Amino acid sequence: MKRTFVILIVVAVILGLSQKSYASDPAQGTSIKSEKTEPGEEGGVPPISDPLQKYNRAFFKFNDKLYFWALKPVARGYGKVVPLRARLSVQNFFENVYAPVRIANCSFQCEFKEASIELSRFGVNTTLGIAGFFDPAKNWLHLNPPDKEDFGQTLGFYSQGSGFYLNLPFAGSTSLRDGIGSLVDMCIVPSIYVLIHYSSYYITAAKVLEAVNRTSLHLGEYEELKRAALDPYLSVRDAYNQHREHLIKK
Amino acid sequence: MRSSLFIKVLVLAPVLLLIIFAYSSFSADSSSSPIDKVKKATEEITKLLDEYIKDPQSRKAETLNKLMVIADQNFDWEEMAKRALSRFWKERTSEEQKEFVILFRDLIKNAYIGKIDSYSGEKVIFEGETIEDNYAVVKTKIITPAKGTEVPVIYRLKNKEDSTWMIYDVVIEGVSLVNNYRDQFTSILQGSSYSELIKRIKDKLAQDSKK
Repeated sequence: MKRTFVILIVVAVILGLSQKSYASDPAQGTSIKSEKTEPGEEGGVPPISDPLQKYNRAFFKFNDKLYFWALKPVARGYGKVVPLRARLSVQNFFENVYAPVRIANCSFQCEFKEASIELSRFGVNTTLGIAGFFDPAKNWLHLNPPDKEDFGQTLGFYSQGSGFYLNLPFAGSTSLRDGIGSLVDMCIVPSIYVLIHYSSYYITAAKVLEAVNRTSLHLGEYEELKRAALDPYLSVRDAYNQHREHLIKK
Repeated sequence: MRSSLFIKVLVLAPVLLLIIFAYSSFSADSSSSPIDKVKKATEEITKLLDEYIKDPQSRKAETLNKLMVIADQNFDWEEMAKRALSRFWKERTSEEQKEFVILFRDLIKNAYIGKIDSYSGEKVIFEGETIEDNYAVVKTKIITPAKGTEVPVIYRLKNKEDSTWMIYDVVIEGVSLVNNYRDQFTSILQGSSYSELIKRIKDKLAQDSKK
């Protein structure tokens, strides 16, 4: 509890330092007219600032190698052994574990209807769905998952700018705001406290399984993005930025 | 004899008129809406890819050529290139602009060579269109049945001088294709020169064609 408190203080201080409001940004309109800027003018999501580009590029390279040399071959082998349905179940399980994060952040953003749907889904899937491996909430009760919310989006909802871009080893693309958001979200997942109580190795193992399982379901996507890009680092950075701003606006 | 011909003409005229009317309303794009344009292109591409996956080995080059024909009919390359180069577009001569449009088209073509192999019977749902003056947005969702995933894809279209709707941007999960290239081009141009940017595009295209 004490640690959570310390992290929250740090968050508050850093956010205070990097205060940048998007509320007055003219490019934030929802009308399609905002995209009607004449060629030669800037439009859409403003680019993310990147003062640590040198380090980010180094970590980007590290993550790239990590993907091609370790994660991809492992995920490929795993995908051959484990059938698709089982892998989708594993994905369901992890999604269910993170449900408290989404419930909390829906509530923080006053999306109470979504919060209650998430809560019902969590209850139904944890019990009837056998620890979340199955999704009876969707299949039987037609409770479709709402848009996923996290603390980075909550901060964005309250007009907190992204700060600057970060590419971290293992974690990949994030920003100052979203990185802090992830730390806060981690404190909301109850199972992490349970696992820490036994051994931190369990958390690492769970994280590795989650990454391998996810990768096995998305093989080839990173390669496509890289192929389309003139500078993969810049393309990934911008895609991350645009995607996050899109999620916040939703 | 004469009167029977006259009767024939009388009977046939409305039929002929109807045919001409129907034909003109079908062929003229001015009366077709943005969503119809995207629907038609999607149908053509789906048909092409359904044929392709039956025999990917021998049909690759042919499929890609046909795909680019469809793309040329639907994408406004100049508008896309212009927007991607943003404020630097005006600084270029018209020859440089023409060259840039061709390079930009090649860059997109190149990106999609790899994509056709990841096609696995995706379904497209059309959710609607919004039109404001000469601009339109068509909302779709791409569904992969096997994985149960839904990816929102938005097309942005512009009404051209000849009043045909042409796509100038594709937005996948909130990520605009044109904005993504603009961010890359701008960053490269700010760090170096226009000739350096052109060199990098050409190098990339040459490198990829070897693979």
